[in-house]
Amino acid sequence: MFYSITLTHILTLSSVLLVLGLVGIVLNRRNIIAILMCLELILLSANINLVATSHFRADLAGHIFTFFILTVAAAELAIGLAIVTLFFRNRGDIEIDSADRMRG
Amino acid sequence: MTHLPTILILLPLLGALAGALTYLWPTGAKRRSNIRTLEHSNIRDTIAMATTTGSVVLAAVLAWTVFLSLWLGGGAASHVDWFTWLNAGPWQVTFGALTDKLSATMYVVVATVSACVHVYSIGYMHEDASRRRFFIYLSAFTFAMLMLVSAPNLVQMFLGWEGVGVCSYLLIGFWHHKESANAAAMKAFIVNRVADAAMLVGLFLLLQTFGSLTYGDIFGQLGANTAALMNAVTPLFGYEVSTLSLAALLIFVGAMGKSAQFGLHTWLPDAMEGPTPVSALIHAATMVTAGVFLLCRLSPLYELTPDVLHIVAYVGALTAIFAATVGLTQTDIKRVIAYSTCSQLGYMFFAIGVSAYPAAMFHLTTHAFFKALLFLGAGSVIHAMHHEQNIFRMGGLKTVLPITYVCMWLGSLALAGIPPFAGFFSKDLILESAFMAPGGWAQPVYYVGALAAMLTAIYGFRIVFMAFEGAFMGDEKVRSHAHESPWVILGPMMPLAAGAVLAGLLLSPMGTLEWWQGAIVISHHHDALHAAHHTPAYAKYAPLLLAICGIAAAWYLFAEYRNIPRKLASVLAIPYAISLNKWYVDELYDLAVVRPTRVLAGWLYRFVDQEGIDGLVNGAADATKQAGQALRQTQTGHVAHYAFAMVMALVVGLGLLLWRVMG
Repeated sequence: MFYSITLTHILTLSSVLLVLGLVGIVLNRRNIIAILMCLELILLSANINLVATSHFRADLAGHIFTFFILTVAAAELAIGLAIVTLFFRNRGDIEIDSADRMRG
Repeated sequence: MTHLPTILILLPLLGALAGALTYLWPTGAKRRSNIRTLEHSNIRDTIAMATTTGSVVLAAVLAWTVFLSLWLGGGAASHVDWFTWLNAGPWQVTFGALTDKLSATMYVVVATVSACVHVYSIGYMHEDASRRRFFIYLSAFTFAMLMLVSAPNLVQMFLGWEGVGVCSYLLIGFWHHKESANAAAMKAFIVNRVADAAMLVGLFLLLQTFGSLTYGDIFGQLGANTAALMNAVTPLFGYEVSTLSLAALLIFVGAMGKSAQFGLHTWLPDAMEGPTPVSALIHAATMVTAGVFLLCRLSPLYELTPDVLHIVAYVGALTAIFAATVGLTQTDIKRVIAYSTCSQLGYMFFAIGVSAYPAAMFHLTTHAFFKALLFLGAGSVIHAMHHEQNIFRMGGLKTVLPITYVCMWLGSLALAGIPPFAGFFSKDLILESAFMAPGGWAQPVYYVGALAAMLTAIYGFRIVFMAFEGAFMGDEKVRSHAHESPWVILGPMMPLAAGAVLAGLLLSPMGTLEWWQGAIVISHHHDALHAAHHTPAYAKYAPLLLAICGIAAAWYLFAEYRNIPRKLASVLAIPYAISLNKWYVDELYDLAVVRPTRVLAGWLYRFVDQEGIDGLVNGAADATKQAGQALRQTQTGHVAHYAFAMVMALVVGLGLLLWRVMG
């Protein structure tokens, strides 16, 4: 039959998502859009944690927090995309490795 | 009446400030043509000359008023307090004007000569583009000198003392495009620093001993606790020396610097690089006599230190004979007169040395007139000869410059001490006092002085005869352009000429102690001045005879048989070389002081400054730079690297936290 889904399963899922996001950021060498997506993934893993714990503890605060985080994430992404657009306008590409003007 | 001295002291300052204000008048040079700018500059120059000259002439009138009201009007010495400058507990410094016979005499000397020199400079400097600056400096000098002589305490005196030093520096280096003028200005300043350092220590000693630097307090304590003060000692290098003697000696060293006594005289001949009116005012009549004035002012102190007075007398006599021998061979007309000044100051100092302060002040006054006259006369010659100063390129100028010729004769007769000219009375009084000094210890000084008197006559008339008699020895082109100076130059020489003729007769009461009404104190133990009345006839007339012989010799050598001096120089090669090279004092100082200092300074510069201090500072900068260079390698600019660092930091941080919580 079905195993019942416990908090551990959900936390494992969110951990996997977090690690996927981190690895995506660190190993990705080409695409800024992908980095933004990875960031969203990390935020998502945090959201899953919040929702799960609030579900199992029967506390609505976690749900409310999640909405706030989603809103902030949307705003942050909008800013991120705006930066990427400007970056493209100035440089003609959005390669991460070419964005090294601040190197020592 | 009580405020007249204050007004006359401040007038030159106001004149100088008003002249300086013209620099605030916008020039508009950018908008207008050069010609317009020049006209404007002329207006400014005229304003500055009018304010400075006007104020100093007015000050001279006031000075005579003060002087005559003190002398003939029966006025008493006055003392006006201006303001308290320092208030340090029990010690106060209050600026003011102390007007007694001593300062009133100096007011007259300073303001009169300054007024003549101001007017003279209008003619002498008329072609100079920066003559405005010249007049402002001259007036500022006059103010500082009046501050010096009017001071009721040694602090204000020192302020004026340094003030005249600064103005002297500025005026010697007035033609700053001339390297020699700059060097001479610095030399004057540095030599005077040496003397002033000694003087400052002397003043500190006085302050420590008396708790005050006000003349009244010092003299009051000297009178009240004479014995205790005379026994006071100061440890010095393991010896105990008399405090009063040490202080008196140190102040005398300061006076030696300002008054160009042997050893610290080297700056005075070089100071002739300045414009001639400056030489007349500062380096003949006023500033260089400040040392004489100061010692006379401090006569109650010096009367208690007879050992120091002996030193003063010997230094003065040495200077008198030294400068006279050097003056014999110099070729620059101004340098001859400068050495003559040096020599005459030597006379004044040995007068002080034998406690004949009134004679010193008398000679100071008469000397101011005839020496300023000689300098202005020399300036007139130089002006006419288009800046030729070598007397061997002059000659026969009496037809070209008749009025200057007469003035130079009068000045030289006064200098040589021929009656009834001014120098006769004062110089004779000095020599008689030296001869009659109690105990006869100063008789060697008298003989030296008498010999110097003959040399004075020779070098004094050497320039008159070389420049004005015989055949012309210079460039014919210069002679054809030579002309008598305009009246704006000759005019100011007239009052000085009158002074050179009459000052000795009219001011002869100055030679008595009573005339000074307590401004000068002479202990009855060494009252040479009084004894001088009983000088035997041979000692009285020997200097006059020697001077007349000197004039005759000068006529023979420098007007009639001009080839004899050259033969004499080759026969007496060694004395001639010593005299021509000023006793090699400059060379000695160069070898003993200047070169070692330069070597030391070069060594300090290379090893201490460049390698030590600069090394430290540059090392710190280099270390910072290297560290930055190393650290910048960590900033790759790649986002992934930063992200990796952040993740690793997060992992490590969280790991540590977990470990702490679990453990």
